[in-house]
Amino acid sequence: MKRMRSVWLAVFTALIFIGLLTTHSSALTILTSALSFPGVFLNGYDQSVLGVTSAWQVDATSEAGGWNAAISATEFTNGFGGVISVSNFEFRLADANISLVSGDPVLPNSTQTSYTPLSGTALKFISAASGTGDGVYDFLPEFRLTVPAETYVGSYTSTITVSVNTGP
Amino acid sequence: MKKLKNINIVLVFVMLMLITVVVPAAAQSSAEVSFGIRPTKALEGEKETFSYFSYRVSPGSIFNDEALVLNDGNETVILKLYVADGLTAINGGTDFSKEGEESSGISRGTHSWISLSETEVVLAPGEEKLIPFQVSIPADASAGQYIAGLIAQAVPEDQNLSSEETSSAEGEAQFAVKLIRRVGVAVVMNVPGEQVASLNIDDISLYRQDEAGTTFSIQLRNGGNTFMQSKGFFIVTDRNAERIITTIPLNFDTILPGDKATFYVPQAARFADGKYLLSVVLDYEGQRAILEGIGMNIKNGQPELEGQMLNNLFAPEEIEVFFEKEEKSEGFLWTTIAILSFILALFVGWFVYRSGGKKEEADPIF
Repeated sequence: MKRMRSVWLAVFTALIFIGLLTTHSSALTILTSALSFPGVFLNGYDQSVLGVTSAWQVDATSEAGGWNAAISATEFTNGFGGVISVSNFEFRLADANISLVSGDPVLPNSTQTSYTPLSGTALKFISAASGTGDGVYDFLPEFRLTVPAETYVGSYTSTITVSVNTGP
Repeated sequence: MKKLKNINIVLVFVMLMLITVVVPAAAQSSAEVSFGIRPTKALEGEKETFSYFSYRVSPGSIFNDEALVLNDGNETVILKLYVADGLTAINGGTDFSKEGEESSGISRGTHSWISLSETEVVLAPGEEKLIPFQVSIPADASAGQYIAGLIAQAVPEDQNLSSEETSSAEGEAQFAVKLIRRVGVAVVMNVPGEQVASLNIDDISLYRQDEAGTTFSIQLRNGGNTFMQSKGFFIVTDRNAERIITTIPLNFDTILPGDKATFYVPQAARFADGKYLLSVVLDYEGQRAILEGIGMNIKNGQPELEGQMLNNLFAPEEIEVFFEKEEKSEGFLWTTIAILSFILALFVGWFVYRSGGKKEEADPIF
């Protein structure tokens, strides 16, 4: 009788394990939040404004082979020939702005902790080496836009591409 | 009594496992659109294949596989699917070209080696779909490690990150940012043959010096046909190379074969006015890449680079010392962790012995 109970307990535990593995079979993904910049009253001088966003999230549950996320951007254009160079659009992610939601307590690293201009070439900004980063992580990126003195009045739009990747 | 104790242990174990399942699921449930793409199977002994596709292939070979695309968010999602060339991001690491663009390394054009059975899928919350694809390796592909990527991209591709998107007030400029969000999984195709490892440091430049510190940028080129990671040091000396002012450890992520990549190296400190020499020493695949003696002159806080002023600054044995020091410090860290773990194990053993070891007889079953 005791043996039977032990067997049932072992089976129950194994089933829980299987369930754990099955329910954890998700895929790497990144979630972003809205980003906005305040309007700028043009006064003939260069002006910098900070972007406003809330936490973004990478879900790398079961992702043990390493991963990274990268960002690129286009110029700000107003549709009437007005352009603000993408080099005026800067990005950074402080290590202190990365936090654990669940999973591996070894946090992924920011690879861009100081402001750097975005460009059409992807900038890797967060990564986890192989064997780490198996979890869900929140992070708060920071954006800064320098509006040149010679900017024309209007509504400007830029497009950013955020990729989260697995690979060597 | 003993049986109860065992059942309690199992229950605690089960509770812990349930927590590890429920917490991420709860975290995820706050998401609106969440999607991914990944391999469906892994190869024994090749743990990377849990995360991305990796094949040993012959020129001219054709084979089939499939990827799993899934919507693990709580909204229906339309995903655009396409194949992209592998490329190296700024700061290293694998990224993929944008749709319709090509990369510049040896992976250029690899997007055309793979054909997907579908280019768009609509997935309800929790729905998954297998996407078969075919890989055709060109008959003239030379030896090397090629990378393409399978990309899942949200459609409509812009999640509006609006600024105050109203009409401009007089004298005002307003800004809006649109977002393209995508997930990429690498398809690594290893064509057998001679493996060439070659890494060049093309340039060192001073990227910025401001109140936050100094940032240098280093341009590297992978001239070989294999993925390349490297470790080493950024060394700043005085102009006569008699005194080392600072060394910054470097740990550079993957550069794909044939790619050039820029790495930013931040330094919290500002450099005082004066003349300096900058050098970079990297170790890769048991070889060394060195660029040394780049002059930097800072006048009134404004730095400028002056090109290569000196060569052969460091003798090979001096360079060796840098790496030995680093290895020693790493060794010290692991020794400390091992000693602390041992002490902790002793403490736990003692605690278990003291609290439960002499209370009951051993159960014949448990």
